[in-house]
Amino acid sequence: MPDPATARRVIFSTYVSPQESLVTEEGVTKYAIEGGAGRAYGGKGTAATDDTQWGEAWTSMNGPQQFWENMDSNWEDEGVGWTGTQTISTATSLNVDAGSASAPVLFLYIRNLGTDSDQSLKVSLDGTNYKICIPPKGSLSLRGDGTTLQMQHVKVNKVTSNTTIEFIIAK
Amino acid sequence: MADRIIYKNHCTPQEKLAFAGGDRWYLDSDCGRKLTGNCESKSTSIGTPVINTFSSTINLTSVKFVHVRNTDTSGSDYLLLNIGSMGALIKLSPGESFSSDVGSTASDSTTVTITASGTPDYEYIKGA
Repeated sequence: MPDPATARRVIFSTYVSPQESLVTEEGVTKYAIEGGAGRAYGGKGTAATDDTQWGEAWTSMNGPQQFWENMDSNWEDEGVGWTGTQTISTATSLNVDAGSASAPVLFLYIRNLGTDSDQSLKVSLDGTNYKICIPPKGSLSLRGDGTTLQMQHVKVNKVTSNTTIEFIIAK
Repeated sequence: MADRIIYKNHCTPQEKLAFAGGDRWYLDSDCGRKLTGNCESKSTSIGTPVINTFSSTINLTSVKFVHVRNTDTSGSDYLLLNIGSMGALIKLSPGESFSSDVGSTASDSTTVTITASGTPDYEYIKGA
């Protein structure tokens, strides 16, 4: 009998390197930290999330012990990421459980697995307007304020060509 | 001379198990691993970093990339970000940061509004 988690959390961080370039006499591009910025930037935090999530589809990854029995009352739902990734070809909600639609998003992580330059991903936090863009190979992490950002509001769509993502969306 | 911004977002999901001898945190078994993305921003122009103490609403316009950090090291004051007037708010507690391209396409820009609870210290970089 598995022992359920008694708590969950996500440690998250960002790192930013502003750079400027010069081209040598031989045509080789060299980069250095941009002079005005002067250094790299970043931050780190911890988001405490519910120990019991809204369903196994709160993450696109599959655990080795993940069986349909573990889906609890959501076993009949269609998991969007049964292969561990989700192909994005149209507007797609990351929440597949109607019962959790109004639950606040306490942590959201989306990684764009696309590698081609036309495989950018756009993200909506209100279900309608797409105002965040994740370049190929890039990712997004954020914490909701516990009220205004709800599960039903998080949608993603391709910018030009289809792409694939992996994600965590936790209440 | 040209500018570029390289940025990463990283996360480590964890779950706590209650052993008889005490609680322990492990990598979350639903996820199975850490996640990291590493990419170059669409922004090619880096604004001068702004470091200050919050006193009133900050409106950034024509933003393609934004990095905002709550530079407080303790306390409960936090920042709230509203990207492109979507209304949903992103919360930054002390030490936390948000770094991302914004705007709906690979060339688009948008607005970023920063508000706060309390008067946290902050820093931000705007890319255009």
